[in-house]
Amino acid sequence: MEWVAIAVKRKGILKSYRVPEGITVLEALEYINSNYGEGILYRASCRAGQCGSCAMTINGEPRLACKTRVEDGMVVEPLEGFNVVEDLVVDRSPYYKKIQGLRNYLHHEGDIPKITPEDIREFKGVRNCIDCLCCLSKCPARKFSQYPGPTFMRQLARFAFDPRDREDRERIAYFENLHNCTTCAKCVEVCPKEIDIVHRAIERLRELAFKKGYYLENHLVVRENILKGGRSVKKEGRSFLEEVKEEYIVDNEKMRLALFTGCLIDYRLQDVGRSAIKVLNAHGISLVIPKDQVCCGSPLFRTGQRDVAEKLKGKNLKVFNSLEVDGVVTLCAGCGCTLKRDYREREFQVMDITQVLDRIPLEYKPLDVKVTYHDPCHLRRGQGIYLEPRRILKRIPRLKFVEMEIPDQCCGAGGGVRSGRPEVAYAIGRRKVRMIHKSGADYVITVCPFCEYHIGDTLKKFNGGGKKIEVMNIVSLLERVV
Amino acid sequence: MITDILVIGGGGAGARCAIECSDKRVVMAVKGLFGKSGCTVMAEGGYNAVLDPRDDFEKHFRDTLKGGCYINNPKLVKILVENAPKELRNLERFGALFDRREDGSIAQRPFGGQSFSRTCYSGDRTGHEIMTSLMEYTSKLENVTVLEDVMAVKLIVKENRCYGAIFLDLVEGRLFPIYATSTVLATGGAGQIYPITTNPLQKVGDGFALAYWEGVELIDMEMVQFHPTGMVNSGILVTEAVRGEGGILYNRYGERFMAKYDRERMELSTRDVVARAIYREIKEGRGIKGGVYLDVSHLGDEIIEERLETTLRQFLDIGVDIRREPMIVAPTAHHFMGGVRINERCETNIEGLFACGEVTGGIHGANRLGGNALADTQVFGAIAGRSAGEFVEDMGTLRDPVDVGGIISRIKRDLREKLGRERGYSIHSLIRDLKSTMWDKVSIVREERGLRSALSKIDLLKEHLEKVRLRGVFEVQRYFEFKSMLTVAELVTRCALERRESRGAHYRSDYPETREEWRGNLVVSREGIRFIRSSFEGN
Repeated sequence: MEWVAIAVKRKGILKSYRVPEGITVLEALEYINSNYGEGILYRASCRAGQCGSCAMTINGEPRLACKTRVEDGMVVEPLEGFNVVEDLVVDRSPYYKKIQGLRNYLHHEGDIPKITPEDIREFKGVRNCIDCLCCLSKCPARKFSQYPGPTFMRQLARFAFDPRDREDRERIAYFENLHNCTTCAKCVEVCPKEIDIVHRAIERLRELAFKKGYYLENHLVVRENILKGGRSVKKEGRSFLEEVKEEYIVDNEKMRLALFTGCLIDYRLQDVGRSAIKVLNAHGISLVIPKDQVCCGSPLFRTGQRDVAEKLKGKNLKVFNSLEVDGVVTLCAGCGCTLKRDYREREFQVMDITQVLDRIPLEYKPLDVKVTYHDPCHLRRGQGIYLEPRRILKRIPRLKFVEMEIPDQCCGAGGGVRSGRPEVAYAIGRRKVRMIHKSGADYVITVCPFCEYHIGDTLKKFNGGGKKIEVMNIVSLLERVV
Repeated sequence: MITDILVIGGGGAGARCAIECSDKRVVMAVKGLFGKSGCTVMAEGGYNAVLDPRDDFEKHFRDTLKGGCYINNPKLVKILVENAPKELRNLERFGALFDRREDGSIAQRPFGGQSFSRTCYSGDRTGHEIMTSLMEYTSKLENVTVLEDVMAVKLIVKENRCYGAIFLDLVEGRLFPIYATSTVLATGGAGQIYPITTNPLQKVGDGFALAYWEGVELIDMEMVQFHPTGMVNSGILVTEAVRGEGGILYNRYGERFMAKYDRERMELSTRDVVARAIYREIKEGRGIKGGVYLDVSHLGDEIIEERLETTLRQFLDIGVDIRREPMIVAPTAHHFMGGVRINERCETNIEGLFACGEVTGGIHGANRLGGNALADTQVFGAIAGRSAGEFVEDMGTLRDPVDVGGIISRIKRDLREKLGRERGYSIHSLIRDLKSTMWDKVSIVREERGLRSALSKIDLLKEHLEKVRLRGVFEVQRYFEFKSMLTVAELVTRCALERRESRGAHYRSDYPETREEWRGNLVVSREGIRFIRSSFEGN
């Protein structure tokens, strides 16, 4: 039999044990207790991922012990985000108290109305929660603001979708700070039941709430901007699209792509756009830049304003569906995620710029800098892209790459939080900035204009007089080495 | 703590019971987490209820008795069948939603041993749907207090009347009483006396043992259902819905072997028949990796993804895509048909002590039909709640609780002695020994020699238990659990030895025939075992 060593935290102290390989963490705890006489306390019941009793923090992530196989060097701790009662047993009472406070029962009187399979479809998408509390453990909005956490919104959605329920769940959700969620989707990543809380609960609830008049004023401003100018922000000076040519064709073309600019590149970060053209061309990629493209709709989809979002989508589809190119390249994690996920009718493939640059590598010039990388949520979890940017950075000779503590923790900008709840966005961003400072890097690199903007502002706001660190888009850095 | 009604157990039956009597003060004491440590939340397949005009109570009644090999208590079966639809509707009032047909009626699927497709479901997470709604509904009841992580170690009984129970706090290790006018056992079964089982870790049979120690009668304890399809090694359930939706069993030679055992019903034969068939295929060398194949790959991906979602994920987790390849399955300890003997009001032979759910016996006879257990929890949970509530109305609130100081200090003294020892047996190895004995000698196929050797092993383990050395709360819990396990194991074995025939889940290789003179029930209590002939003459 082969063995692995796992460490278990009790009373703040980690102790390492040898256990047989291939077993689950739950089996390992039982093994440790019966063979080493340790008597570690933990909760567990079904052994099959159906009861949610055995959630704990394993290698820093909330997981079910019964569904996780042991690995050498693994660290097992009580579920983060809750008070520890003893060993791996945490206090669940705040959860019970809160869920009870939300009037967590069907408000219904009289006979059950006729229900069809169609009525149940949405309901079922958020119903198979096992109360393991994994999603609460890591939620940044819960950690840093008055937001109860993902599962509560899921539960409110469950009632909102129920044709029998008479309570105004949208109202409850609104006053429980539904709009504090940055849609970072950490909850979706850690949910053992793979419930897509962001799309199936948060966004749908926001949509239903919007219709009932529960929305943030600032989100209406975004709506107004889009209705007037097709962009989520107001125009200041010449836009990127007004400045650039329609085509940037290279010799020995390796690929021809259409550029989806997004709102911030077009109206605010024109420099980043210009860098992108230069870097892509240097990699042998020709660009086509359609001038009649508009906002992808992300700020509206994320804040429940699907009505206008669908119109934008229609416009963009018309523009991009007819192009003769190998694909559409995005410079913004949010745009990319929206095109990939919400544009189901599209006839083109969508690639993030890091996917493209990674696929067609180039020999870069050396650069003496120390950088760290911030994973935009809508790239890391929205599109599964996190290796590509790191590979690209590591190809730059002499560049020193360091990881920050939690590179994929949300910066606080997404989901309409920066526009609608800036104080929440800064509270979440502050923690991010502390990590960035601790990394000792000269630059923090990212691929999303929203993250870039927000991290930049937050760095200015919370720079306690230390070393000045700048945030930079990956293409701005690459421009210096192509 | 003093309350009107103490419900021991927080699964489907316990929660339904608490809801029913929530006009009184109720304490629900749960060994693990509420709604999570019983079997209900894991039940996948469904809930049997007569809803279709082409179906009727008589058919459901007949199917249940036939499945139970005609030793069920017909009065209890009648109650089950007639109340199942009503309780299904109650569940939808509590918040559950069952799958629908296009016309809005509740969808029903075929299940083993039934003459009509009467199993209602919510995908393959029916029990989860039910449990979740019971928990939601309970959260609105101010009279119901839920205590988690507490284990009942002894009932408080004086002069044949129950006054609550003594509990062990599983985190702090404290012993404390909860006094109650009515006490309801809703502790579930004892799959965990076997090493391979579908049951959660808590299901060691505490309720059977607590009751038996105080002189309660138990019935049909030899009747342990082995579910035909569990995941190899762990025993984790592969729901009957897989076969209900058209899953096919093959042996290693690709033979659809059920044709040899039940040509008519094939894979949808009763659970005892299918379990023994798989057991034989494996024993006789036609198995594969300790199991047989169960295949659904011929069904459309959509059907699998929609109706067998849990099973699909469960196997994807171990790298098997059931849309493309077969599962490997083997029998696993699943359900105790036997248990506390109750009457139509869920009363036991001790005053003030009631029981509901899997801890009771008599409803399912020698073999339970899939889909009847969830119905059982709701129908009898409600009845137990009503009876417990009425008992409180008759007796009034408890004023002067029985003094349990003596009992608690006796338990403490015993623990102190075992905790203070320098050396002694390990509780964990005793538990392992018992489980493997039960699997080898008292499981799917039984015979006299094996059963007798199991009894001597149990006696030996009892002696060893006196010399056990305990460390910490974790082992104290295991110690009390092992006491329950030993009692349950002994009762199962003694009754299995007594029943010299084969019937339903009980198969004796030395008495392979079903015999009319054995059509009846073994009732076991501290006075011994007696046989009661079944009075039902309807078959």
